[in-house]
Amino acid sequence: MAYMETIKLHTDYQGMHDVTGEVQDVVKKSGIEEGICVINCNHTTAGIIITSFWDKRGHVDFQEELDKLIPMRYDYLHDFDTPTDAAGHIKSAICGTGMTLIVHEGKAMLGSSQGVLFCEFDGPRDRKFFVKVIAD
Amino acid sequence: MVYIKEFRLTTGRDSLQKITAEINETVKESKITNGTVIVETAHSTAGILKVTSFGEEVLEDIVKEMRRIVPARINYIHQDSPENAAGHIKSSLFGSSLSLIVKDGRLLCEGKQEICFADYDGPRERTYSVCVMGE
Amino acid sequence: MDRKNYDNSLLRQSLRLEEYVNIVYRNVLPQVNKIPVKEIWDAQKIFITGCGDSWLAGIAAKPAFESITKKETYAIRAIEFSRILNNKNLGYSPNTPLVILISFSGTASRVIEGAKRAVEHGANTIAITANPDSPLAKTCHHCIDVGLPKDGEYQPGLITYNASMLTLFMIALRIGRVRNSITPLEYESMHKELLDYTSRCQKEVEGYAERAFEIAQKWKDLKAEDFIGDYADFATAYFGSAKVIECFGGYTTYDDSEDWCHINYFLLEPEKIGRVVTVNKTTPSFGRVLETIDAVKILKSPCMIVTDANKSEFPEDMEVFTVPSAKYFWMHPFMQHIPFDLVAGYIGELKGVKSFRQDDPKYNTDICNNRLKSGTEIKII
Repeated sequence: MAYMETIKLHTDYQGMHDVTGEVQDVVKKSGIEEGICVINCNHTTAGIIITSFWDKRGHVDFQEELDKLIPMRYDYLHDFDTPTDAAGHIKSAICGTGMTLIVHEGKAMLGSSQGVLFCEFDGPRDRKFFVKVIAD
Repeated sequence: MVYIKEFRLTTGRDSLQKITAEINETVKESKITNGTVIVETAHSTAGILKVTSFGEEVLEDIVKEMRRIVPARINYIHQDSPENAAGHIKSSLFGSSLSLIVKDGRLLCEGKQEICFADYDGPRERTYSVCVMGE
Repeated sequence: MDRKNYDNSLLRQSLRLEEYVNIVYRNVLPQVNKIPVKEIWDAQKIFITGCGDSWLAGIAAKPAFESITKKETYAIRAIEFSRILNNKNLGYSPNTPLVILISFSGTASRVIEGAKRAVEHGANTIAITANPDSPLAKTCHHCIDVGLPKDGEYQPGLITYNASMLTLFMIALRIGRVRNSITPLEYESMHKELLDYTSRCQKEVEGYAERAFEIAQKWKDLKAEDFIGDYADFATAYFGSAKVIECFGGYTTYDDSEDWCHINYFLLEPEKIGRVVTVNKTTPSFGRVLETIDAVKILKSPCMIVTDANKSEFPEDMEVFTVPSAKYFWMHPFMQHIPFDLVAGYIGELKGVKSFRQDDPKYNTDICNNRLKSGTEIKII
């Protein structure tokens, strides 16, 4: 048995959007007690990560540190779009665009501080990601 | 005794132009045999560097490394242009003046060492000054 | 006939052009330098819109944008931008396209409507206006106040046309500088040339006035004026045509050199139609324009040519206004409208017609005067 939903969101510039609630809702709706939950987005300048959701300023730190590592410089060879976009491609590749979680007792298994975050590396944009829950 | 001379040059993009010959010539003209030389540029997006040049490729390495350390980002607070904003920082970090020693009428600048004028926001028309002090 | 008795607004404006260009330049420079670097990089396309002369300034500046920024640039009519352009052109990527909206009063309805639409769909917007408190200025993300003195003489539009064009050129240069599509050396040289070229042309205006007055006397009873110009020169052609109507309500038409040969060539009584050709050495279709001029000669139309090329390139009996060359081809529309503006100003005076038909009370009713501002408000599409 499997269940899938598409979740839409409107992101901010370099926004970090906590989507843990949305993911848990899909797991709940699926009625699946034991299995796996696959999360993925098919954007090239966004990413999905797990990090602590408690301190919102931590998210600013995350984006800033990533920006130091992969600066929005204008002289990337990638010439298709903008510097934000060129850096966004690299950030997205490094962070990954999805993940698999374990579903146990009707919930995606996450630590008490862990949140699933949708990271926007460009923005503002209309984005979406997919959540699929598969039973054992 | 003090002897000052100003030079003009047209730079290129990301250029390191060798100016060792001009400095040597100025030292010679000054007739100063023992003392110091100051080479300085007053531009805020240019610099004076002492480099070891094993060939043009080495100069390219320096330029590339400087670009890596100070990338031409679009999100500097200084909003002139990415090259200009990065240029200001490179100029501060890597210096815009140099002091050298003159001994027995010769500049102490060994072997492959060259003095270069670096332009971080070129091409442009630039100036730099050479000041020789001593006796 | 004493030229002094036929003073007119376009002449007075032309004589003060350099002064006003310098005022606008000084006011606009710090403002364009504040356009954020990220937004400049985000703009994948550029749209310029406005009504009348403002839109023409967009046509005139399009070659500058394409040459300096290397970005696709569209000068689009206000009604098309506000109501017809497909939504998929707006906001498909952050801050894209960059939309530059021009209105000196800041109250032109279609332009404001276009600004609202662009903002709603996520495009970036810059207003060029003389009124920073206007609805247009308040709707757009950025506002560039051209800073023209409030008590100046601006009708029919001449200084305002140059102010719009200058501001557009300076935005293009800012974009070119930030995107590094021109070198810092070129950037400095282009900035300098804007003021130098103005200064070189300003010195010629008295001389142009002398010749324009002679032509006006010969042309005042012609049936129509027909303008020819390609690409950047097309704006000059169109602008001249607008001055014919604004100054003396004359019949007029305009086209590029190619389509002129297909269409306007056939106009009745060609010997009673004044042809005005704008062409430059750097105009890519220079040869085609010369062929067009040969056709004009066969038709025996009185012809006036505004050019930076040598007089010997053209038939002998034509009125050739040789104007200073600009160092950059895209700058030519900035000054080349002046010779014909002066002819139009003098014809108006010689005919005793006031500009915008203010000699006739029926053009001065509330209904007429509201025509620029009205228009049913529609839901933003």
